[in-house]
Amino acid sequence: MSFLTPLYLLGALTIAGPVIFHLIRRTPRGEVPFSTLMFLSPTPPRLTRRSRISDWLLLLLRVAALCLLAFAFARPFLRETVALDSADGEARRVLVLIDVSASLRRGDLWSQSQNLAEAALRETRPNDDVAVYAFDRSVRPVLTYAESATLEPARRSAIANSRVAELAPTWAATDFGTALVEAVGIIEDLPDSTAETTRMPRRIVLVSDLQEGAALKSLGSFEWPSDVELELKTVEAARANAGLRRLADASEPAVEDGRPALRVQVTNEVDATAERFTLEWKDASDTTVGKGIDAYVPAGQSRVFRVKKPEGDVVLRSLELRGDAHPFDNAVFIADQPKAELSVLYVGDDPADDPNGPLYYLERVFQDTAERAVRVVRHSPQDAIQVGSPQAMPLIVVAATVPVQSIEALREFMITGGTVLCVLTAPELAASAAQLTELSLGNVEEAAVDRDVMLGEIAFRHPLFSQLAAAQYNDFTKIRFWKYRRIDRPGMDDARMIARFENGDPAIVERLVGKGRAILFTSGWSPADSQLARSSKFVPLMMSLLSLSDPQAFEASDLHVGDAVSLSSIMPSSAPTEIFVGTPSGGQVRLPADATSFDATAEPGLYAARIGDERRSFVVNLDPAESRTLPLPVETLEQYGVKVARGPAVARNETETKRQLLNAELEGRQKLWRWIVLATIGVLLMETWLAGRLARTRRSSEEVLLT
Amino acid sequence: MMRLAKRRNQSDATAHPSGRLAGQEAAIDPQALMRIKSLQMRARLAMEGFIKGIHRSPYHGFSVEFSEYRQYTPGDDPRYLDWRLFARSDRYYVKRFEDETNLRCTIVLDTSRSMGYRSEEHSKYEYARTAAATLAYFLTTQRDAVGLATFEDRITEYLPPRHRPGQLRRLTSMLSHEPTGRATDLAAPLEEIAAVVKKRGMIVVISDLLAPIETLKSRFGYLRSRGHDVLVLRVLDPEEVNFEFGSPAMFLDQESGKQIYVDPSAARSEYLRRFQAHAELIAKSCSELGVEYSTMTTARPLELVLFDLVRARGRSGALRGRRSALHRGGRS
Repeated sequence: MSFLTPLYLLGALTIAGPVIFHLIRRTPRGEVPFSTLMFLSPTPPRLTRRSRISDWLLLLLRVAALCLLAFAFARPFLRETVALDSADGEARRVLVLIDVSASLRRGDLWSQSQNLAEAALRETRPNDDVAVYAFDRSVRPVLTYAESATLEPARRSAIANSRVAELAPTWAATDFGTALVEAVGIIEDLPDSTAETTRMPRRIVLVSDLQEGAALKSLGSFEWPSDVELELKTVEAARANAGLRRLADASEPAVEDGRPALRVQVTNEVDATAERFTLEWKDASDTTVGKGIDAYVPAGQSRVFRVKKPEGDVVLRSLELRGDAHPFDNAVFIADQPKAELSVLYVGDDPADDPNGPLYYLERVFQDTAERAVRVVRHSPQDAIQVGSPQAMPLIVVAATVPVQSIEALREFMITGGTVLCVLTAPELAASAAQLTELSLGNVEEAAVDRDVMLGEIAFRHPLFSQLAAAQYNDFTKIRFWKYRRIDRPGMDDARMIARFENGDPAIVERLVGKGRAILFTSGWSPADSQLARSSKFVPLMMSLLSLSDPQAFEASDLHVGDAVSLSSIMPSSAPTEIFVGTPSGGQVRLPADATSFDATAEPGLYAARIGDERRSFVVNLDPAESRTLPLPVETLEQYGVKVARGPAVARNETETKRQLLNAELEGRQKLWRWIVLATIGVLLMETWLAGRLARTRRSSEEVLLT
Repeated sequence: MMRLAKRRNQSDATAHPSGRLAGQEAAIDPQALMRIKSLQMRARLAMEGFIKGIHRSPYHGFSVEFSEYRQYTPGDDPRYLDWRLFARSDRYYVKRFEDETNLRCTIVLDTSRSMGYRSEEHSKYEYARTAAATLAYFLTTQRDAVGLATFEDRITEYLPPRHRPGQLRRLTSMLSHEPTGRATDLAAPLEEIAAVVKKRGMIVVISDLLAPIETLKSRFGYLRSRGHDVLVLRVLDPEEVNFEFGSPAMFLDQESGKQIYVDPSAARSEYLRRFQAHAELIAKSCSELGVEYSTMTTARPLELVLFDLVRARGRSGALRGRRSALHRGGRS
């Protein structure tokens, strides 16, 4: 005999009530009228001195009624061997979703995670539909429903376990939202195997560290289906994490003491014990460069540091944070290129020391910066021009008539992305200029200028002038032109007018050629022609010209693990060739010629792309959100409408629940309580009859006594 | 017949100089008496039993009291002029004998519910009204004026003392009402009696006196100060005196309806102590004021009531005799 609700048996303790009432001598039956109570005071009821229970039979009946009632409430049943095998339990559809994001690289989280995943697989019933998926930024199948359906339960479990064991945490960020939405899609899209029954219960088991930095945005617009439950199996790291992230360069130049500096933010978690960290530079061979700087970040705070690059001409790979228990997010990789040696080719015959010639000013306009050194190379117009790549020689200035073969070389240069600046210092140069720009300049002659002329119309949106577009810089009225070469306008259809003189004659004309361009100045900058070389606008104008052919291909801080890198900016305009990308771990990815992007950025670090004989590098960093490793409150998921299965303990006690269900089923079949309640009613009837009888005999005996 | 009985009883009484009944066997059993339906008949029986037992005639000294002559003043009824004295002394004197010489007795009977208590066949009220009727009958036969006032916590009915035909009938019909009152309050009714009964006389209070007695003394004193002779007959049930209940029970106060649980075996000693203290306090108050106080249980033969009356009358009569002598002396 077993009981479904054995606690109700405690109700039998109420038999103490009748026993005590029977012990109390409550003989006053009826009332005794008396003339006055003024001399009387109430006597408290008391137990009979001899503890003699009166009316044994009545007491027994009452006790029996109470006991039977308690017995009935305890829902007794006879345990039988009922064929309620666990395999007969309701089939479910289970999807185990394993978080493999970078934050699981902390401590032993990954082994914990694997154990939980295996536990989740063990908890599945043989007739369940089971699939295993892994996710970080995206969802990847480990064992699909289609595959698991073909396997026997035992084999399915073994295969799933072995595949889970093969998994390893990646470097990518966590996107819970996408993962959950996709998981729901996977679990819902599959038609039920048993069509005649109701829908199978659906359950997503999420094995994750449930970190705060995980993206949940996709859940916002998603309506969670009511029949899909999310069971959380969370792992938690013993120690707090500190993270390092690169901040976007502020508007002020990131230079400190003439040396470039990197702005980084160090965050420390609330429950961290470590507060003192060191920021160190590492070079390509992972050795520390220079002296590290101390970073004091109290728990729960974040600090911004500007870290100067060390002295010397060393190529840096990363800035690393030391002192943190979890190193996975402690490095910021930078693409530290060696100082670029750029050359500007000047094709002309004026001597370098002639202050009236263009070269004199050109040599002085380019200042060396931390990233690059510009060298102006004078080239005689009679000699054949040897052009390099636009990366090494972004600008060629033509201020003289050049031979036809040189024109061809220049055109080739422009097609690969170079910029050719053609300065019409004299009308005689018009022929070469026309060939270079492929424009019909018409009859070029010295313009008749009344004293001087100013620039009247400037396209400030053009990269050449965009730096000077602000109101405080765009005053060009102080630059007077005494001489310029007037060209005809009809042939300008394919060209872009960047600037005109105030009388409408073209001053600066651009013609795009291939990936590069030709720019035509109708006046020179030397004092004989104008005040341009001596104006404040000359330097920015020339720097803009230089960078026209060298756009920033990559912004290092923008790329995170998993991001696709667009290749269009580094693809040469010539016949497409294969691209090889070297990964930080030493591997090499070969991209087909028609690839437009590189998306195998699976780890943070420096990637080296090789296109033909050209090399470009870019860095990929860890997503800063991945550093926010504090556990996400489950309520947040619930706010997004996710139906979270409460209490993992409940799930763990599933066998207990099953046993309870079995008991309930047995009890429901036997329904012994009905008979017990009937017996109780019988006993109560007997009790009523006996009590009535006893009262009657007592009354009659009293009457006899009275008479 | 009456005379015969008187004589016989006189001889019996001689053998018992204590003035008590010759023997309990001679007395009428109250239970037997109460079975008689007619109250008047009961009273007569009781009185006859009494007359058998007294030593001397109650007529003597009761109705023939000395009355004084008062000089006639204009306005006096000339019918009361004593012509013989006028003949002797040639002065007009008015003889004032009727009012002064006859006893005016007012019986004040408690009709509160507590009087309805009975442990035997008849209740205290039954007993008390029989006693009242017996007294009234006795006094009427002596040509005394008798009146009746019934009270609970105030006077409910009042019949002024008269001596006239039909008075006794009216009185007995008043007595035949069943007790309806709730509480017993002695103070207010006695005050009312004092206000109503102007002429000096005798006031017989028949009650169980089961009420707070704080004000009792002052009210008796008030009556005494107006010159009344006061006789208190306390009627109690034997159970009230002995409190011999057996098993614990819910005791119900007949007046207030209040119930309490009482185990008599535990409560008896306390009850008796308090009851005794109450009784002693009443006795003390009465003796201080010269009030005749007598306690009787409903088991006591009724005719003994009359002995109490006579004894009280005798004492107060002697007292009054002395007082009137003084009074006369003062006047003369």
